[in-house]
Amino acid sequence: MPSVGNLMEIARRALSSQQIALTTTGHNIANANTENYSRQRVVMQPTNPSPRYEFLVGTGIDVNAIKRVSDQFINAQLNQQQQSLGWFETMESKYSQLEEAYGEPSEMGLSNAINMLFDSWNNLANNPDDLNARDIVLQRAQNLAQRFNSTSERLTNIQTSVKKEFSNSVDEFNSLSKRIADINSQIVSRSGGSNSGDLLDQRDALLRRMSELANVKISESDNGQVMLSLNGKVFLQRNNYIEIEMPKESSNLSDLKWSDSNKTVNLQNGIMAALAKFHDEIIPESIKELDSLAVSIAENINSIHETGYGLDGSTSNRFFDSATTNAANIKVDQNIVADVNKIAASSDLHTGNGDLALQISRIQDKTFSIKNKTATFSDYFGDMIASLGIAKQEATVSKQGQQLFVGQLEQDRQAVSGVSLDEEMTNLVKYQKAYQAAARLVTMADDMADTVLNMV
Amino acid sequence: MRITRALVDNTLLKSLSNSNDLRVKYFKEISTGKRINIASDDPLGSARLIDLNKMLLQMERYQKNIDDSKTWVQLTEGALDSMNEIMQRAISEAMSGSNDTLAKDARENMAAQIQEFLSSMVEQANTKNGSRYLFGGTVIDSPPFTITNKVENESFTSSLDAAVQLDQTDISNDPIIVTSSDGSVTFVEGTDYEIDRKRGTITVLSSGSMADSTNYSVSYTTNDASVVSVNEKGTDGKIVREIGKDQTMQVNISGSKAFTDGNNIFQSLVDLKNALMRNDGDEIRNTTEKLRQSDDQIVRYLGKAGLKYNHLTDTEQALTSYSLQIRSMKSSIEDADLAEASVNLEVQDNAYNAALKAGAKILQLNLLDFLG
Repeated sequence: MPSVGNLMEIARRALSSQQIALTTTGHNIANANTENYSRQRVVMQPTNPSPRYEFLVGTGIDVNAIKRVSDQFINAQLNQQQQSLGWFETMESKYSQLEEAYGEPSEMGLSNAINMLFDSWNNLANNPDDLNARDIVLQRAQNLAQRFNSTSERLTNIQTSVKKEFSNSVDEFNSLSKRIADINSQIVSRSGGSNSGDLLDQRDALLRRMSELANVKISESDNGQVMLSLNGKVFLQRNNYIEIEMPKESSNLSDLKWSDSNKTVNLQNGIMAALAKFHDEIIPESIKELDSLAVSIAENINSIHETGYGLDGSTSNRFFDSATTNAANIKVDQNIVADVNKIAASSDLHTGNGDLALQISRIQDKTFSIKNKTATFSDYFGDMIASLGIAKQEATVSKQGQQLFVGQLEQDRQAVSGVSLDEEMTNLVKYQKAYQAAARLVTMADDMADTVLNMV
Repeated sequence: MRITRALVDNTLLKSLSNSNDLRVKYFKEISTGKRINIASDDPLGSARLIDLNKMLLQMERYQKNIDDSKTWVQLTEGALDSMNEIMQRAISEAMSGSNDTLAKDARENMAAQIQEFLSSMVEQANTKNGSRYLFGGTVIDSPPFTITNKVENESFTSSLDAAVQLDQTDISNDPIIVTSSDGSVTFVEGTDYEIDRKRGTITVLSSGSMADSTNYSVSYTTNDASVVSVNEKGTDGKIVREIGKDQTMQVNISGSKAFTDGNNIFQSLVDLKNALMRNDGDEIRNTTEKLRQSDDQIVRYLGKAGLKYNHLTDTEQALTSYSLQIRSMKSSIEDADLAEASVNLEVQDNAYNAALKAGAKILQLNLLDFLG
């Protein structure tokens, strides 16, 4: 039977509920600028009515739940798209580094060094007996060799740093797994499981980062825990997870393994997959192209040079060192370095003859078979540079498109989960007024109790 | 759609960032003056640039080679011109000398003049361009032509204590070798025979070991510097210059081809000199004809040099105009259009400005300002 006590109880419930609502509003306001924060909403419901004669009397309000406002669909899409964004961003950044390593088009680049060398041979053809002309040939050849060496070194350095970055990502991935697994167990250890809004926000952030790293598939179970799989292999369930580890015997990063079974992880998308592709395929390919060019130039000059005579009458001399096998070790033969008189400008012993030097100079316009392509040295190199530039451009365009898409999804997420200060302000006023009214109710109930008490 | 604070912030930041990216891009274009600073700015343009840069360097080389070739050809023309002049004077001398009323002395003087002409001719034929001989081909350590004194080998019949005239007069002081006709026995000057070097006579002494009316061989050098020999290493080597794409030119003329093959111009002068020395009118007239033919040969080669020079200037003209085209192509790919970039930058600046202003307004409006 409803009594003053009931009224007091209603007032108490009202006070408490509005206070929780105010606290939640306060929490939202405090986290208005927190990244990954999803606003929380108090769900209040009237408590069960109590019967009085033929009708039911209301008994007040209770907070049913504090809901975290978050759209699962948008989150899932975001995670999905984040993978491609990670891939394209990495590709663009690495291609950019690769481009910078070559630094073309430029006077400081390889193409200019190649042209200058052949020009010096042409000059020698005009003045085969002139020591100065010979010195210039030597100097330009050493310059070319040095540029080949340093470009090759830059490429190798990029490869090494990509590997380091990959290794760091592996560590980060494992650390993310651990934290997600932890949150999984924390979520279950609370009763209900659906009120851990802040934990879920934290987990969302971790999942987002993980999606950036790799093509992880996320599925949520009924008790609020997540299960993660990669290419069909479940690696995180409840609070257990399997780590990934760097390949031990292979030098290929794509041979990344699961630590439990020695099976390959098989990354398809995301930052790590991009790093692996760059390390295993793109850079080695570029290095091979560079090497082929260096070797072709050295061999083709040598084959003519060996048939000729130096000023000192010697013949069968190599111009480039015979141990030249790639761009990193190309260098001028030490006999030439020691004595420029050994440079063969002539096909006979006449010291005024520069026919061989002219012949060497003219190979810059001849086409050779260089690594499956038939082209002049300059065109082959131009192709290499253009391909790199196009690849970077494509990565940039893809990245920009993907950024737009992800940006749009972000906005959508914000629209659903973000804190609107205007809204919270309004709520603040609303709950405050209700609180004030509830306080009034307490005063009223107290007065009524007094009255009753004083009746007797 | 709910608009949250974060949404407003992000949208503002994104558009400011995009605007800034463009501003930086145009600024870079203006400050470097180049549209293409790295390959990805324009990949195909970059490949084209690499090719054009190669072509430009080659064209600079062709120009240098053309200049070098012009010098060669001009010097060659100069030398041939001088030689032609000398020949003309020799012919004139020959025509005067053919007059049989001339005294022997007069003809001997003319012979001396011809000897001078011969030395000059050889000097011209050995003209140098720097360290090279114009007509020496690819041999540079020795000249194409050398004059040496005539060496004579002849046999004579002895006449005891009588002077026998040898073929040559004016014998040099170099050692003379007199042997038996089979070469087995060598005789001694002063003991077995005496030589009058100036007159070119040999007297076999009866007090010596030589016999009368016998054939002997004598070999001697005269003071007659009239043997012009071609360098044994040859003068045919080609001096070639690349003056265009797939275009080379041989800039030199072979000394032997021009001066000794066909007509031997030096020999024709020597023949004239000898004819004058011998006071042989008919012979003088014969050699005059040889001289004319030799001169024609020189003039022919002078013409060839002239043609070479014309070819060089024509090539140079074409090269200059082509080179201009290539430079213009390079510029159109590589250079930033400063006017366009400036305008773009201006536009972007305005857009950025507007976005900043609008952003400032949006950022500030808040319900908090209006609540009590």
